[in-house]
Amino acid sequence: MNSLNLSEDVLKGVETLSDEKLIAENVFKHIIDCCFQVILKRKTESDLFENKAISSVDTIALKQTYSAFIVFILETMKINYDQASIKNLLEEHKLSQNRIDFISNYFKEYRVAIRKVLSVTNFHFPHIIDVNWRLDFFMKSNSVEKLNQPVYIINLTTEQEENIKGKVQFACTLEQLQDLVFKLRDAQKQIERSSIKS
Amino acid sequence: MIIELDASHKQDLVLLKAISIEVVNEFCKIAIEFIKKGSNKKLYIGASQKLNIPVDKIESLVDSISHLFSECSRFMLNENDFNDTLAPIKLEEDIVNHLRECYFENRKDIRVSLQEFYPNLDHYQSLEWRLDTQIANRSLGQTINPIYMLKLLTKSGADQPSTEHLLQTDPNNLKHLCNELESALNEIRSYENRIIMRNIK
Repeated sequence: MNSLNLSEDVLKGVETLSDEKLIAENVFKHIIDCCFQVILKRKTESDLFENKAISSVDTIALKQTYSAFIVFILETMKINYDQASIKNLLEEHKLSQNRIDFISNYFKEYRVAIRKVLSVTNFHFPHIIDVNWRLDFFMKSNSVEKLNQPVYIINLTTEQEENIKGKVQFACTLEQLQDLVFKLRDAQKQIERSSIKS
Repeated sequence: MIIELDASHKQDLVLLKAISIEVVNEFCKIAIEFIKKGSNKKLYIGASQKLNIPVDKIESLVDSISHLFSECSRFMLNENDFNDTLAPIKLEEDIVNHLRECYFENRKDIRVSLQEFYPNLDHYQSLEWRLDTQIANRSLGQTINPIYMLKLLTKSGADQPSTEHLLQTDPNNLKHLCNELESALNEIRSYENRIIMRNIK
């Protein structure tokens, strides 16, 4: 397994979580919950400060702890650090068994979801997510009569980033569409062939 | 069906009487080029010096022949209709035969050129694909994520440069794409559609 790559600052921030005097139980739970929800994009950073209990904590310490724990989650999930190793690491930094279990449950619940978010946190080419087509019968135009040939209009819906949609539109004749489908089928079969081999 | 040529075109075409078959042949070629690629002033100047006819006359003659060819192609005139269209000008039979031959030889190409005048969508040209597997990125290691890279080339007309679309998709979406487009292909063979196409004339 790859080794974790955490800086001194991050480890110190994580260690702060073990300080039960500075960070009371409900504040602790709020911070951990916030960190996970922010990464999953269900909350924003400003939600962290909206809890009343949080005002009892020094803002700078709070921010350090918060950012440290965010990095902790991202790094461990990046290399898919297993549950036992996470527990060990937290133990090394003096967290109580209670708090370790609390954190561990979050990891258990959200591991897959977080890795899914991380997998799409990247750049990519417009991703085809849907297709629409229509079949026209091209009869005549202002410059030509008696054409009478089928024309397909294809509309590909693409996604560049989450919820930013684009489209690619083009027309093709029957022969061109046959060519296109033939090539796409070939591509599709290729993945079946490769997966059989492995 | 007969094409009604207007007076100015008739006037131009009458000029063909005075020239030899070889030269008529040249004019036909220039007219076909004109339809496909637009006018070429240099050719007119050369022809005008050779034949001793003013450049503007040559130009309007080429215009008229092009008009004749494109209108006849537009309506898919047959042999008799083509002859009847030229009848009022009373050209010699040889010349009419020559024009007709040239018309039939090039009709298909002319129709292709004419099609490009209609509001044209980008047309499919070719597709290239490759299959990649993304195994890591900055924020995530240890994954296997198959990605299809697709290069789609489209073109809006024969002389236009083609447009390149770089796209990607995953196996599930590719399957969906295949199935949808295949059902589009099947649609054309359906009974209802065959009846419609057969009855549109």
